[in-house]
Amino acid sequence: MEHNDASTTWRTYRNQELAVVTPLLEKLGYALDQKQPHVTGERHLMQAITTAHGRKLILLGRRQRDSTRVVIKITSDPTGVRELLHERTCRRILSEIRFAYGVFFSPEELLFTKRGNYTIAVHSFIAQECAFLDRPIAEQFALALAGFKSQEGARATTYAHTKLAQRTFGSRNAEDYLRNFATFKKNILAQLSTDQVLPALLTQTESLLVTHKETIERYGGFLTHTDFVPHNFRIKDANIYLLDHSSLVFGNKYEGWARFLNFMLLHNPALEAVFVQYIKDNRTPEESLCLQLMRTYRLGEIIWYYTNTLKKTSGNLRSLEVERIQFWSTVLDAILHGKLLPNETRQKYIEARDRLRSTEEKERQVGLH
Amino acid sequence: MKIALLTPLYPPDIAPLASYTKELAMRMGEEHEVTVVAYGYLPEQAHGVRNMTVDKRTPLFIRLFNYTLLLKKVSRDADIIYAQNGASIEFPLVLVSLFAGTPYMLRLGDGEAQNRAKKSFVLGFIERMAIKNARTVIVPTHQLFAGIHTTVIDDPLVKPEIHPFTNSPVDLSTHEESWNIHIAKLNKLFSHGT
Repeated sequence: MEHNDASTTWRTYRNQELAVVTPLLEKLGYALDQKQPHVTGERHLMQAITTAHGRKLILLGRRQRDSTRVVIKITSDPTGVRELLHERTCRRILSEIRFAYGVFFSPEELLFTKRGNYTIAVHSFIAQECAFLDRPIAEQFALALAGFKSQEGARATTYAHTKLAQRTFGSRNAEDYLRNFATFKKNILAQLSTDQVLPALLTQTESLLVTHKETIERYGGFLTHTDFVPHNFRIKDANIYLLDHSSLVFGNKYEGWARFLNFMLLHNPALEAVFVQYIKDNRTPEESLCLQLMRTYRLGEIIWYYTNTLKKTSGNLRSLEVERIQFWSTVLDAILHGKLLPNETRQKYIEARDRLRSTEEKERQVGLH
Repeated sequence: MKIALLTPLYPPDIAPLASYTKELAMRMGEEHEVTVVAYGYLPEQAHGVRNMTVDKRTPLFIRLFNYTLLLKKVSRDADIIYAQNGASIEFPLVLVSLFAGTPYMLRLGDGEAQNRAKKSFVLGFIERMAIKNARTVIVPTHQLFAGIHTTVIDDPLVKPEIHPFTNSPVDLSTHEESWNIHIAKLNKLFSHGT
């Protein structure tokens, strides 16, 4: 059994909170499921990278009066409360902004209330026929493309829009991306000072981003979901329901694509290849470049994320984080130099990951994507 | 011929008008000197096309003022102006046309802008003035404007996307043909005015 402070701290927090919130939710008419996948496994390590994450529980349950399946977000942590309020504002503004050519669907809000120190948000659970990655690849492509095009339809390029965007969703320009990457690089190298490969790789990436700053800036001002991956949306009746509205930001339009494609390089490389070809066939060469730039940016971020988790982990989990850093560094090298990632590299990482993952985390991952 | 294309939207904006204007500029640029005057920030560059932009992120009156000044400068050099409808273009166009002698053609391709003009006295007035002072008014389909002669030129077809899972290869010939017809008709108007 692994012993590490972060995991223990999370389990303590989770158990204490569940003891308090379970009866609280029952009074509001909601019963919790026995199995709670969103508070187990590696959830405790997850923090947003460029925004601070408060602690909150994401729980599955049912409304007692009619057995409607629900998702409950509940927190007494002040940062967590701010996040819930922010997410609620983002949902509302998203549905109202008149310059959005297409609007994402959102699960219906059933309850938003405060009880004592706790802020509680309850939304309807969107049941899917199957996980996104279990759909035929043509369907995955069509759905994801529709999602990206919908995001591209909203562009904050007038004075009034910029103000609204900044107030609500926050915005990132090329300077912000470069500054963030410099921070990623600095922090990674501070923690991995003996790494032979990363210093040169990160310097080359930074240099590429700086050289093409104008391209990053040109394709800015787009509504982008910075974590547009299958566990953050659900598909029902061919509609995309966003589950996480707090990851919406006005930034580079390919930042969302970058996250998605880096994710798919691991989980469904055929889909990743198809999207890269789609951009080459249908968009300008500069847009292909922009996608490459944002992928390298997001890869820098993910390496930084796992580097930061090293000190919070021990045993198998720590070994797994080391494997992840190595894998994503190899991916960064491939994307930076326009090379294909060998399938053996991918398979080798998957085997290591599956060997080192906890049973709890493996259970949490079932049906997640 | 020196042609100024006026547009409220230009790539990387995502709108049919934006991609239409860029495609038009690139094709026209093969035989004419083309300047695109757009609202935007860091527009996509295209070979043979000069881009001049007014930053859309400034307050309304500032950007209208800046666009008017820019248009005044560009129109001195241009043989013909081809403008897309919409108050942000029509207002500066009407002002500049009072003083500059450069003829302009107005394309009423943005239905939403026309609807807004119908609902607003001010926007409607600006639109009517722009139509009245135009050498030619181009419409994509037959529309009636009392006392105004319009010329119908169909919009070219949107370029079909190459999708990875379609069985048949994409046929671009129809798309190309529609653009060739569109450009030929515009060229005739640029040269002869009717």
